[in-house]
Amino acid sequence: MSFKTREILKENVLLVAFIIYLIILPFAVPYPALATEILIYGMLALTFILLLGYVGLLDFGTAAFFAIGAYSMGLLLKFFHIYILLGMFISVLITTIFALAIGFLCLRRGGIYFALLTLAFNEMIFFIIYEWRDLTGGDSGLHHGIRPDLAPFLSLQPEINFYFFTLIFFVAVFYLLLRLIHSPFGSVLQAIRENELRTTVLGYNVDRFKLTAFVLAGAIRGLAGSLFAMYQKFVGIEIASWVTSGNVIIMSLMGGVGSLFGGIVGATIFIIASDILSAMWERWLLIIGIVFVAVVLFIPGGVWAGLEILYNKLRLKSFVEKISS
Amino acid sequence: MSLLETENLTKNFGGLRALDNVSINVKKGELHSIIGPNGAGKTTLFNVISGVFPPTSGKVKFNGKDITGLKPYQISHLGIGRSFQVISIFPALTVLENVRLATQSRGSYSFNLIKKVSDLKEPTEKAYELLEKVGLREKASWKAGQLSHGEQRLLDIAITLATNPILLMLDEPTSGLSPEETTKTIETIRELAEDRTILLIEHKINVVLDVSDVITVLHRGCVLAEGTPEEIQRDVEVQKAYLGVR
Amino acid sequence: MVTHAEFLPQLLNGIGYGATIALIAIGLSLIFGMLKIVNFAHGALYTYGAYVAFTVFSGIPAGVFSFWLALIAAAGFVGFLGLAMETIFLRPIYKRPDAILYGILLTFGLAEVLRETIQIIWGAMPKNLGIPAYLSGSINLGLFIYPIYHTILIVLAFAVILFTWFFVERTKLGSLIRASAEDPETASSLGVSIHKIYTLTFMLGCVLAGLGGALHTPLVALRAYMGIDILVASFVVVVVGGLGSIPGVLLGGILIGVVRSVTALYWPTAVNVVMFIVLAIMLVIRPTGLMGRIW
Repeated sequence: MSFKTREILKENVLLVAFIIYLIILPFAVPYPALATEILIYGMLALTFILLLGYVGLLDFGTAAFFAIGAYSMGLLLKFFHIYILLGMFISVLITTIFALAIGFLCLRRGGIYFALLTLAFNEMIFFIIYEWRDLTGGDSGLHHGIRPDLAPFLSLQPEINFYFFTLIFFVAVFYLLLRLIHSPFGSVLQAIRENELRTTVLGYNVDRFKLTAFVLAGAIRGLAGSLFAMYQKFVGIEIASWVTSGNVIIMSLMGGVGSLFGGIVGATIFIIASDILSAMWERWLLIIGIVFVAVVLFIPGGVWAGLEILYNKLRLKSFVEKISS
Repeated sequence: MSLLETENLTKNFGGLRALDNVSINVKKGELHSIIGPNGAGKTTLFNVISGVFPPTSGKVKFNGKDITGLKPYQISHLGIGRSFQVISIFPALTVLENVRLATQSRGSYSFNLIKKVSDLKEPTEKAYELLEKVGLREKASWKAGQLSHGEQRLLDIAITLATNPILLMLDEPTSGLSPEETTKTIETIRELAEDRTILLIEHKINVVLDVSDVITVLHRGCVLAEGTPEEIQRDVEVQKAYLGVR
Repeated sequence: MVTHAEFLPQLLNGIGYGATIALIAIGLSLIFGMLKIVNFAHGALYTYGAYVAFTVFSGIPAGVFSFWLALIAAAGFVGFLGLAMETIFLRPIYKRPDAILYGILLTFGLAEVLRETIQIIWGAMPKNLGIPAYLSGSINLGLFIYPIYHTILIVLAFAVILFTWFFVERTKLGSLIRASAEDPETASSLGVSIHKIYTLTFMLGCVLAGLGGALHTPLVALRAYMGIDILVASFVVVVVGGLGSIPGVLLGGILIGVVRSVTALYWPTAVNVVMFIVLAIMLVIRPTGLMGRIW
């Protein structure tokens, strides 16, 4: 088999395996709702990986936009009983506007400031949600209790139905990001990560590219938030907290920020592990913290990079066996 | 006909004065070299001209137009291209992608989120042509970080040429090269000088004596001398500054 | 209607809060200037300082002596934590090309570990010390009366900041640190042990965070997560004031502190949000901060 054919097969095998994985997931985990949570956090991880793995921006503010999307949807459902798709669309729109403003501010200073500023504005959003009790319910949360029907006979109440509804959006987001990475826009993003100064000297308005990527990430986070609001039928303030942002960072690093697949791997591991561990030991976060530190120190490419290395080693092994036999 | 002019450029970094009233004039079609010992302010001058940071005072004019304080990406689109002293490529991207990024920057290709970048006909073809010119065509799908030092230098040059600049600014292009590679590079530069204006930084004076039309000598941020290679060779001040320095 | 007697103490509260945040932020700034690491564990170290001070205060009831012992213990313990962190976890990553990124991620992970160990040692319930009897009471400042402890806090915070500034700008060791930060290669070739300087600077930064925590112990409810608000406030102060400039960070801290306190009087719901508004305004009109250097 030629090298090129092997590459095409490898790529398709990956995608096929991925699709099978996504279809089996709700049946493989302890309960189907957990699979939905994996998809939603998976989307968040994808946005983080887009920004860090492909643009080189470390973002501590995922939760802010996740929450804006969720609270927007929750409020639209509570006060207007809005049609589901319209509500999601408006939530994404609202989140995008916030992402534009906050992204602009965070990119004002270059370099490391971006990370600090995303954390700072994340906290700002948290405090606004906390203080604006009349609207959001503060730290009691927004109890709207609604998971609307998609259509007169298409109820999303059964968890398995809602899973597949979420899956449609997850696959759409994944595909969009996959196209984006291989697009002209995507190659400029990667150039920025590799050598920002050279990219700017070649004639690219780097700030505009960064802002666009950030706003896109924000929009996807808003989408994930709107889904989450319906998943839980309730919006709790903890989704706006830096802890949530931190969890997205942890799961992305663990999964591997070098590849979009790392996002889903990381989300799966983290959600399932936290579900199991939190029932076992109150201080389970200590284990997560230690594992995270170990990953950063020893396998910064995460599980996905580890799998790739393993795969290459195995392929090399069988190749060596072939030629020596 | 003056292509690039700087007027009394001064740049302070805190207490350090890197450029002190530097005024140079680069005429169209010229091969103009800037020489001086390390720390003389040569790269700082390049940085100010290409917009990497603004001067503390003074002006930069290109084709008669004031470009002081413009951002680097804007200056790039005016037709100024520059290379860096340290090889500046995109290591994790392929050799082809490295050059295509440069060819892609002209024209409105880049805000396309949907197309496949490999489907961009013109930029991709131009990139292959440039790789052919520098002899890297076969390694187009290699990751740039895997090339040898000399090959990375060639790639760097290809990237710089890819935007087809009117004014080509080269920062120590022979740095780290063997004597043979140095001679070859100077030859390439001489060829390039035939249809564009070149501003060259070097600190090896003998390298540029043959090939330059005009030489400006910088020392401690000031213009020490300026003139033809013969005039510079005879200049006493220049000899003093270079005493003991090759 | 807010009277003088209400406004002036609140103003002083703002200065006190601002000065402590500035103290902690200077620690952050020193670490970044020297090691190019944004210490995301800075808040957790502050928390450790507060908890250690709490233990000394409640375990050793020896009057004013306890107070000084608490400060020293907090500084010492957190300094030791800093030593361990830097030598074990941070040294391996200096050479990596993305060292800054790894520094942030590592310190972020270590902060998580620190927070959990605090809860293991001291429990998860919040702890409240309150101002000890020998430090309570108020003094009469003419126009208003002001708590003694708050006065001590302000005096000590400024004293430590002044001492740090003097150390960094005027002593031999300080100039060694500054030189190594600007040009590690030259400093190293002149015989300076860069590793030791890195460790020392990191420890110094951590000590400042721990001291900040210890000073706050009598004033706030201690929770394992209390450090995040402090971390974020430090970030805001550093951006507003200008990284790399001790006077700038102090100025930024006082600005944020005063704005916060005044907001508490007139618009209480916005107390936690107002510093971000100041941050946003600063970013739009003067991104380099009040007294930012080249960074």
